[in-house]
Amino acid sequence: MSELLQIQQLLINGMNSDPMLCLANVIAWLDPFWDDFTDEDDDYTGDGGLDLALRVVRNSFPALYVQVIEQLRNGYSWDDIDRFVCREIEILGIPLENLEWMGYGIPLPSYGVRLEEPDFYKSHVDLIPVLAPFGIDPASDDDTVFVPEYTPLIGQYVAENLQQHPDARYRQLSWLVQWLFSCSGNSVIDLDYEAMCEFQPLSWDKDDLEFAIVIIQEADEIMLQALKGLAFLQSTPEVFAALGDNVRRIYKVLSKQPKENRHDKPRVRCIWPSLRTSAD
Amino acid sequence: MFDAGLTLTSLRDCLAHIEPVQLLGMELLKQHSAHSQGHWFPIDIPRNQMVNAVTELVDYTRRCAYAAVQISHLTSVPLTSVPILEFGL
Repeated sequence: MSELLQIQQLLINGMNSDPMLCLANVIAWLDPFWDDFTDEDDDYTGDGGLDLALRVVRNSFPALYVQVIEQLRNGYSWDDIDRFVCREIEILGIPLENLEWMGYGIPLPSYGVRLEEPDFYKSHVDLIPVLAPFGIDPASDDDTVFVPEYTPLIGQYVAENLQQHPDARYRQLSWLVQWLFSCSGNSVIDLDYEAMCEFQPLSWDKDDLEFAIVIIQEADEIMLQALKGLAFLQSTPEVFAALGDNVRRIYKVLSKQPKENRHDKPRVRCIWPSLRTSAD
Repeated sequence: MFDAGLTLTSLRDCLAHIEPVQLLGMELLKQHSAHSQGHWFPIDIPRNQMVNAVTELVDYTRRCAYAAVQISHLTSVPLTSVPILEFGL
């Protein structure tokens, strides 16, 4: 060992044997930004997104914080850090294109559907037959697609009915209907981008962040189930026919009700065909 | 506090005898410094240990900051028995 390295080792040993110096050394090593973020009540004001990003990763993503510190120590640029943090946060399902967006709160995805929007049907041609029994026909060239007044109520009723079905495939179909008629109770599923923008975003506090991740994971699971429900519907014509029959039956009951009671849930018994399962 | 027989001196002695906190990061620093020649900080420590150490350190920093705020809000105690010579000046 060279004399220079011996001196360095002597210094390190000396520092580590003193609790105060050892603690200072540990902080310089593991948490060099501690002094910037000690005041919990500080607003997220800084010289840009990176200041906030560092605070957020320090408070909520210790594994990310460790890597950011390592990268900074290894000479990575702020741009590299920016891309790295965004990529890692996007893996959690949070759509973060740029750290500058962090200042606006947690961006949530919005899978919600606007049935009146003609563009929706251009990108989801396979859903047109599913919505046809509900009286929705996007074939016209109008700027907006006509959605009959009681269709959302009927969709909600059908979804609730399917959710009670013992066959898991029908419950998957329920998730599809819940997505289409924005009645799942999950904001990511029920709100489209414009509606989502109307809400105050969640903050990057730990509780809000955990909540956001739960919502997103639940929404992804719902969408997965909805896609399975769509495949089920497309592959079983008798279920497709039953969907149409049930919608017509509900609509008939609704139309017989006095106008002031039409927003009440109709009392209709939906009939779904019993299907063989793979176990049969 | 002082009515219970605790004097300034005994309070200082009591605080001085508190064992220094042992944080995981300090342990890692002591254990690995000898194997990281040429580097000021240890290298090649498993990621999960680093994460645990950072988590504990950030939490410790937060608790210390909270304690400091709490102490700063304590009502001041008049020490009538302690002579402050500078006061006469």
